[in-house]
Amino acid sequence: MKAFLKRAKEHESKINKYTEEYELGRKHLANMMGIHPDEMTQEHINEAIRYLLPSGLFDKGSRPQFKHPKDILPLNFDFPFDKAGRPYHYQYYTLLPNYHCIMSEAAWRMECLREEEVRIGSTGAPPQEEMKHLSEEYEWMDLRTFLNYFKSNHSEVVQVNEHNRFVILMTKLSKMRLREQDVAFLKQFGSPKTSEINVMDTEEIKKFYVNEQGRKFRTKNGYRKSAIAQVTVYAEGEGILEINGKGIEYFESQYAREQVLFPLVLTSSLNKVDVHARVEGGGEMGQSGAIRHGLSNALLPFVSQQMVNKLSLSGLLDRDSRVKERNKPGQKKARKQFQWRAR
Amino acid sequence: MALCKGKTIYHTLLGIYKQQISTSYFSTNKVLSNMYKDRVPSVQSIGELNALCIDDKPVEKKIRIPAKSEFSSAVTYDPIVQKFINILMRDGKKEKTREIIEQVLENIKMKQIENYHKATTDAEKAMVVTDPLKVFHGAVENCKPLLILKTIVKGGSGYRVPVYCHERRRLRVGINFIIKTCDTRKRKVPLSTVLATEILQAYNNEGNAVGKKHQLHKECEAQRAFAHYRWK
Repeated sequence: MKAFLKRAKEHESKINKYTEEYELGRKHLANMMGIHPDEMTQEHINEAIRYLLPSGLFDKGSRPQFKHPKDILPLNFDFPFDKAGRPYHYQYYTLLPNYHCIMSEAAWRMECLREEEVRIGSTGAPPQEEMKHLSEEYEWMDLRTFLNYFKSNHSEVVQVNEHNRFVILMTKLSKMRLREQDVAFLKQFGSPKTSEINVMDTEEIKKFYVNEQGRKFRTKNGYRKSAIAQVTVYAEGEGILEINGKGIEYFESQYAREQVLFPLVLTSSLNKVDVHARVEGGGEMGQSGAIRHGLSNALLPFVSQQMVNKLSLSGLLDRDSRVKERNKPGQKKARKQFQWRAR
Repeated sequence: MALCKGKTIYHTLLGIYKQQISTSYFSTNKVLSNMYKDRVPSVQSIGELNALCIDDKPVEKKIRIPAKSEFSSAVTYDPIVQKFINILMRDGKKEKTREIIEQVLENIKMKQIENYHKATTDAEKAMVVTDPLKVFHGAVENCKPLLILKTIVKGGSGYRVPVYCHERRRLRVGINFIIKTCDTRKRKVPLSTVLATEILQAYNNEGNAVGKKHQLHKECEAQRAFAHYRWK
């Protein structure tokens, strides 16, 4: 109890200190930028800090920020127990009271529904028709919305394990014969499934340009592992293949040559299309992978919809994001470590 | 007392929904598996691609795991052979292992052609399989075990318990058996010839690689008494 009181006082003094500093700094910034402090918004502040303190860190949470402390620290520090030290919530000692409250309620409802089914079955009535399950129409909460739900409302930090258990419980509940109160309880944690499918942009796929001589063509970039390729595909051609001024003999190994020819063989357009490519960087297999990536993206407008589906299903249109791992301090290479010594 | 009520309700209900949930997953949950949950794996071979009924309707845009650099529409491509190459490879020398395995398949074909010409009657000739890929597949299938021994620590001591496992694990164990029987011999003879003889013998259910599988099965039978340790 005493520790709790101490922490509450420290929290209050912290917030007061930080708000004073924030207000002071805000006025100085407004002075520097030439704006009235009342007209300055958070966007102005973000721009100014990106200009004054640029950083190349990947983690956006560790870059310099300038916000009101209420956005960073939780303001309400309410006492969850009374003067004698007894907590109000009946699951306070689980450390995640609101999460376990929801789970236990769902489990309790499942037990009640089961008892009802047993009662109905013991009377000897014929089985009723099957109803539509709720889980077919509703999608349960994503990981991110789940974590935000508890963080913003109740300031609880929930783990990934708990999200898995949540999803399993709710789907089990939704497959039973539900009452109206159960349906209302379940609809809080789900959103109806949208019938719209996220489809590839058909306009972007079918874009192409026309040459001075009247030939259609399309250029696309391909990437793999620090190799960059620029591939142009001309329609209504004879089957010319050019890579950096040479033919397919530019590659020496059989497997690199197979990679370049793979999308053409799949779409059966070997002798119907001209290909000109320019490659830089990387090694042999990296360059051939980059050409493959660019080729399959450049072929799309000159090919039927069936082949476009095939190319997307086979995974040729996506960039391979595997890259060499960085070396770390205190180790020899990315994973190799120094020899272990007892002392 | 408000405290005691809450505690008792919590413990009873925890017991109820833990029983219902704990049997559904037995592997450790990592953040990566959730990150890649929405990613759909791309297709393994061209036969699968053609088998998917693809209409003229546009396909749903999903985050797909991109195709690997060995995937090709050539007739010589096989996913199991690629797995074998990756396991045989050492120090990242892939071209060397590819040459070895091309030689192995050649050797298998030469030997089977000899057997074909040695066989006199038509019935015997029909029994001889000359396709090296089919021989390869058959040999790997004959080396795959059904159960595997896994050490489970209970009460301070580790017991070896027979356990089911999925296809990927069994494939890997089967390939390891083939490779390890060939590594022990002297290296005056090139690896490709040794491997070829092993694979032919495994196709006919003979040899040391299949012997290792039988040995594993015998040990699993001997440890049958501890099979129930798998569930606690």
